[in-house]
Amino acid sequence: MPNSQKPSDLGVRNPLARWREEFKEIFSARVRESQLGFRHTWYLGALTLGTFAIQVATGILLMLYYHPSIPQGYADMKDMQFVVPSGVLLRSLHRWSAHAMVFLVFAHMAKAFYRRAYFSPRQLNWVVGVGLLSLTVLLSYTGYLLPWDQLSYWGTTVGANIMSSIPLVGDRLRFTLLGGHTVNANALLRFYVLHTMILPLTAIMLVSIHLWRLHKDGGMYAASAEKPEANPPPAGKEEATLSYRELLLREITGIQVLALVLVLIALCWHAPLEQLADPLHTPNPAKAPWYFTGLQELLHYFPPFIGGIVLPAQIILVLIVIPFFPAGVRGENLWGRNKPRRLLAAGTIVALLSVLLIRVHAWDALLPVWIVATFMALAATGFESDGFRGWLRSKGLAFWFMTWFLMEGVVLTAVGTLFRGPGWSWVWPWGGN
Amino acid sequence: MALGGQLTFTKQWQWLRRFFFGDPARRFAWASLVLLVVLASARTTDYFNQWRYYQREYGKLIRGRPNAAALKSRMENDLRQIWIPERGVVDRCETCHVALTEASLADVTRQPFRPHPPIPHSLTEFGCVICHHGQGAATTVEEAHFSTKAWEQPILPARYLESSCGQCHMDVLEGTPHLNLGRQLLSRYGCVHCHSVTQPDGSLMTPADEPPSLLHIAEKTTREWIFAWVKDPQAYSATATMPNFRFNDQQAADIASFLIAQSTASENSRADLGGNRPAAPSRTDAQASASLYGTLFCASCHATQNPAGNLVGGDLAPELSKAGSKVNPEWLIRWLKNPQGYDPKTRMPRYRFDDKQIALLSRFLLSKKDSDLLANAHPSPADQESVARGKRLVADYGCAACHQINGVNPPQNFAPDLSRIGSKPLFQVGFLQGMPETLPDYISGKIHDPRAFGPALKMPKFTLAEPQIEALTTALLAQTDRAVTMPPELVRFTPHPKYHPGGEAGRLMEELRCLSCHSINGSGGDMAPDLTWEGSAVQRPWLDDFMRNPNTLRPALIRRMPKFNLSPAEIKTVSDYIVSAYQAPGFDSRALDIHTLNADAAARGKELFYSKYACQSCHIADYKKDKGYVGPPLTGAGNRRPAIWLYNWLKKPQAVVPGTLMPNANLSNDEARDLTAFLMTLKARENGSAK
Repeated sequence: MPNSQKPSDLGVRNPLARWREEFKEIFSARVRESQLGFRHTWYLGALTLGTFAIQVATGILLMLYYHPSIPQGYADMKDMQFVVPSGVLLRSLHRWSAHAMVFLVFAHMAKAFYRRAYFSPRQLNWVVGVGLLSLTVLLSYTGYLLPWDQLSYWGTTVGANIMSSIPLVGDRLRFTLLGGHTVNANALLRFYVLHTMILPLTAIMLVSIHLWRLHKDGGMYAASAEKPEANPPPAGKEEATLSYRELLLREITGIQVLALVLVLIALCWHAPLEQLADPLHTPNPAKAPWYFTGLQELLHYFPPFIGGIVLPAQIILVLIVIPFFPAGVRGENLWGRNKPRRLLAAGTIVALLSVLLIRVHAWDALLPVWIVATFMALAATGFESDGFRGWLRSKGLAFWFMTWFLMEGVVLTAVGTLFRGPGWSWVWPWGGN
Repeated sequence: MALGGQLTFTKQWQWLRRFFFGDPARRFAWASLVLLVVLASARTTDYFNQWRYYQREYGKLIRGRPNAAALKSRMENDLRQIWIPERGVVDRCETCHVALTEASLADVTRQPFRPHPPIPHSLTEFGCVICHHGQGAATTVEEAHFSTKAWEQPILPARYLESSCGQCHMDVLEGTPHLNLGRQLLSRYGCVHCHSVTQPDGSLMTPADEPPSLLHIAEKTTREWIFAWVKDPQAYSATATMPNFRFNDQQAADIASFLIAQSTASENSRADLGGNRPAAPSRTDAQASASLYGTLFCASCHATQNPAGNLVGGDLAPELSKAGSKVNPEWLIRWLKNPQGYDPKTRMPRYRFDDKQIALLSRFLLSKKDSDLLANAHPSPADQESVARGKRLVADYGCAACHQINGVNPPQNFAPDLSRIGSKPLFQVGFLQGMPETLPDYISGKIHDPRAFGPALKMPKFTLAEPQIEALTTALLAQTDRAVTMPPELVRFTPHPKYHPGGEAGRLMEELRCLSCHSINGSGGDMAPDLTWEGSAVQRPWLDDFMRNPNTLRPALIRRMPKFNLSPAEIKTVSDYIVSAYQAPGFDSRALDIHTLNADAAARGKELFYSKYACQSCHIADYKKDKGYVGPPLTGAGNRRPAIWLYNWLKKPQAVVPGTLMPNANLSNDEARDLTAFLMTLKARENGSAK
């Protein structure tokens, strides 16, 4: 049951007090004492929001200098670097904070998933969250083009080419996004409008919905509640505590520490800027931004339609439907019932996947499959109810799927970003091949 | 004690922890404070950047100088830049190079404070980067001067700096000897036969060499000689511009086979040899022929090795030191009679040699032999296959780009276009191992030894000295994107339309190849005087006489006008044409009244000549008295020059012959008239050639 109880003193006249009450309303009204600590959520949601705030602040300042035109946009980057006071810091902070946001948003999703914070009544918020995840990636991707250097030009080109492999509508979609057949002045303008107007406003809207739903769904999810259907409002006054003072203070402190770390990073390492984009000079390898290199790695093995569309679309679809998927919702132990049949099914899937991946020599993609399969086998063959094996045994299908997906994501992204050189051949990050 | 200390420490630590992290509010407060401090101090990093350091150093540098106050008042402690939007120039070099225009700091050698040496442009006209390269927008030493990830064009090394002038200037400039030499080499060494080089005005650079036509090569020489030549052109003539393609014996033999096989009969082959039959030179002949070779001034264009091993003679035409080992005697006789009958495009004039002269000359040339040259030239037999292979090689190596060859069309765009080589992106460049990865090093390395960049590359190795390679690199570095897209109003170029004299005289002048040495209306060679205004500059009788017997005015020169043995009718035709067509404007006869050139004036002129202006220090008016050898002797000036020309010349020498050494003495009209009167009295026949 959502916590729809309204504080009685909403009607106070004092505007400040009223605002405070409304603020409590927007944020979570109540929170358990045990949820205040860092260990409970790692403040991942708040930190993501914090990076978004940093992005908005630095982004508005950057907009004071940036012209979305060729080659002035690139010249503006040079001016930021050489003339504008603290220009490099501003740009670097925007860049590193964007990376942090993409990373945090994935981490937030994983944390929410493993804490099973997506069950009813929170399915909608989970879906909004998946939408915010895609928005974050899109925001980062559109921003990637704006410096108009070699890195951004070819990263965007690779990303746009992945899009064009969608059947039937792919080319049209790409044309619409770029405003042309290639990445050019039109694309720069569209990406600029998307990056500074459409996407941030949409994100602000979705973030508001996300926070409002969080409140409507009963505040922060309590891990101690075993039965997801029965996520009760905080039990007992002695355990609950007013949130906006305690939690807000802690989370803002967390955001400040993150901001501090990002500023220090930005002071030490400047955002990369390569030569002016040259459509005639394709760098080898041309890499997409890091959050797409996993996709690029898949595209290396599979035809564009499979690697670029079917697999990612399936993943997003599965992410969206996870909360509505009975096995996932019940969080039922995978091996509890119908063990032989399920073993057969799981074995067949693992075998088919392995054959497929071996056929295309996708050894790095194969690794997570076998690791997850090994642990599933451990869970299936054990009888303990406690310890690591017992913990494994208690896991449902969604857990295994998500773990596999995240592992694939991490492995493929790491390989695509660090281990791929000219011609997408294997290289070691420290040199040699 | 130790325990107590530890206890205190632990206690203090706990107190500190409580103080900083005691409750959420404290944590929040401290985090806010640290974040604010870090943000505030991040801003201060701007005050420790490089350009502020250099501006402070400059402040110290000028402190002790006498004009410190003036220097300081001109110094702005801020970012400074030259911004020329229409040329895409944003140069912030001045931010650190603060004293570029401070001439009073000429003694300062420390960079970045050296003033810029004087140049014909103002610094704000084009900025810095157009000439010096580097990254103008940058304000750090590394980014501004060197090749980085964000900018790959570093500062242009000083020795190639002249290349930057070549981005706009197409003319020969006084201050750019390297660039001029490089451009001359590009066209002289035939580079532009294979490579296209677009000049700033959009036209293509044209070759200035004339590689011989090979259409009738079999008449001229033997397969053995071609074999030896193709293998190593410099073995035959050290000054040969033909590069060494490093052909092996088989390839050289195949090419020789094909060249002999493709050869057709020239117009000359049907010509009668007349009384001239090749004959073995006798000792007395050798004397006479050598002296004839000298008196005909063949050495004006052709060089030969003298007994000491030094080359003597001009470089306009092939070296003849070993001609006897090359040419077919009958071909030589026909060639001397009528070179254009063998090669219609040759620069060699058609002399009217008589049979005796031809016999002597050919004997002299045939005696110039090197028995070692062909000693080892034994090409394999010339069968059909060899000819076919030769043809393939000739096509593969682009021989027809330079030479005319039957059955092989000149290849189009045979070699890479070099119009933008000076802006070639480094990612397109394959550097050699261990070579500095810069564009100038790549270009000079490529000229130095092209095949080092890959054995399959066709470009041959040219025989060039280091300064020549450096000059060529300079000329090629001028071929930047900017040069090719230069707005027309910035291109500096004096056009030289191709001039061809017309009519019967024109035909004759073509035949005599006057333009091989003389230039008329901007066309032609630069060895002999410009004839554009010659009709105004000479008297008709003198001209006729000179054509009959061209004894030079300056006997000290090696290169002199040869004797063409023209018939009186031919002389009349050419003289008529010169006198009527090559008239200078502005030689208004009203400026000088001929009747004032009387004896009195001449006497006054003589006085001026010898005392006031001391003309005898450079000129000779009287061989018995004067010793001036800088200018031409004037003993025959009255025969040679029209009075009005002398008058104009004396008043403004530079206006009549631009670039002449003759000083402008600022003569008054009367002085000029008197001197003219004096010079007109000098009517000695030159060198006793009077008839």
